Amino acid sequence: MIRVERLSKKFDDNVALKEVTFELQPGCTSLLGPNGAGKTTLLHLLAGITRPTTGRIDGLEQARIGFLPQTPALYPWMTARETLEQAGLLSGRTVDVHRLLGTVGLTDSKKPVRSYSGGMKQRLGLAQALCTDPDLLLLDEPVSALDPAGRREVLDLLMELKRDRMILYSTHVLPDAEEASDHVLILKEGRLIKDGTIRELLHKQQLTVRFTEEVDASELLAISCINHLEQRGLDWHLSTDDIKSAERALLQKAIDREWSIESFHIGHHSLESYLLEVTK
Amino acid sequence: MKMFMLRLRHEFKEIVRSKRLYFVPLILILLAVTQPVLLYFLPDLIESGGNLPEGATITIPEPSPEEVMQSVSEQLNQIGMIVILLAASTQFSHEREWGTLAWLRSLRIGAGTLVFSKWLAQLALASVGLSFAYLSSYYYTMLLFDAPDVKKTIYSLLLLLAFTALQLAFLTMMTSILRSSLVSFLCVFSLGVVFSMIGGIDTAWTAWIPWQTGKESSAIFSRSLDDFWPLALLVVASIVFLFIARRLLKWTNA
Repeated sequence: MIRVERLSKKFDDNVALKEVTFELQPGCTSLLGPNGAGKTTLLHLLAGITRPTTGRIDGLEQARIGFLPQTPALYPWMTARETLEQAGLLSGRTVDVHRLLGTVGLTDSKKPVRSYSGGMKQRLGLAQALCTDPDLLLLDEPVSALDPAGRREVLDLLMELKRDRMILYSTHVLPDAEEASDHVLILKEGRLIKDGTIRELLHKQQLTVRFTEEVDASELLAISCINHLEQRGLDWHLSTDDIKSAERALLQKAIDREWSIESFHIGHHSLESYLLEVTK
Repeated sequence: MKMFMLRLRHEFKEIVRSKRLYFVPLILILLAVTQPVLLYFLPDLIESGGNLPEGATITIPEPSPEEVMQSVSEQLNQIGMIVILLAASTQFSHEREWGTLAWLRSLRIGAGTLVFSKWLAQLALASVGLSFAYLSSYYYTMLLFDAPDVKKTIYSLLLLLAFTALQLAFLTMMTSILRSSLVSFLCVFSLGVVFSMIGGIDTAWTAWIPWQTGKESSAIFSRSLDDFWPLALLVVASIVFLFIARRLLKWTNA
């Protein structure tokens, strides 16, 4: 287990990370937050690329780390084989290049990396991160350059890898985070605002309702036990801790105000709606 | 040590792939060879240039082989050094641009390993180029004039290599903190110009500026081989710069 305690990072006058404390559990943890929230800084601190201004990270000394930066760190003049062989040698491991390339969906080729597409580079970067046989795998937006099929493959790979190691990965693709992660860390303006399991964070339920006419948001928000309200397109998304009462109250209000309901759906909070709610 | 050797091998591989192994020595050889050839054919060139009044004669004394080698050394010390520094100026800027510097840090590769391996690989490339350049210019001088003093030629080469080591160490230090390879090169180049101007003031302390000793590689041909302190000074200054570069790289962002 890795424990991060009151970790802060300042770049000149800009505070990128403010007193972040959490424990990294075995399994997959996704690191979420809007742009500039401090996700990459946190990953860089854990990878040992930059030093914290204050705070400490325990349990990292003996850990083997695999790191995939946002733009994969590759020498453009090398081939994929040379890249992985070098990564293996530098981390003191023998690498089965053929197997590793197969794992990330690449084939051995004599072409230099500079001729690779963005998606291929990302796959090779992931293979490079795996060369260290890491205890802690740090991935900065590992699926950002991949097509849907490639994304699926990487997600499946993460599901497999998380069984025997810690993975921390930043992403903006929230359905992926919801699927692959056991834990979620949410950063906003350098502060850790949420730390919990997916189950804990998404325990709130949500009512999604579409009216045939315009309704006033304040009328909906006036309904007791509605915590949060958001309009996306024609749909209203209402968050609540007490779904039964909220449902009853909403329908009663619709009858009172003579609103016609086109569709009505009860479900759990999605990670996307949750993130939008907490980072607002 | 194992990491250092791995990184050194990587640097050599990059020098080969980028074709610097071929073009740097080739340019240095061309620069060196043009001096004896030009000096040999100088009277003919002036004569064929024309514009001389009827009956006018210019007598150009034939330079001694040592004087020819002195001009070769000066040429390599100035234009040759620009070629060497330009070829080496991308050391850390490329690593930063490709993100590999950050990746290497995540593998706990020490700043010292990176600094010393890069410097040594660039120095090896420059040494190959300068040695071949001296060898070929020695051959042409011998062919067109007479054989220059071997001891002085070897010591001149050693001094030039030591001066190159210093320039490369200073460049490594600049590239470890500056993101732009061009700015790093310009800093090293400008400092060389400034110090050569300061060197014009003949005081006791200006003689101890490491950049001043660079001139010794050519001056050695016109005096006796008596003191070896310039060589020692260059080696010590190079090591100091490399240790500063190591410290700076450790503290700068990848």
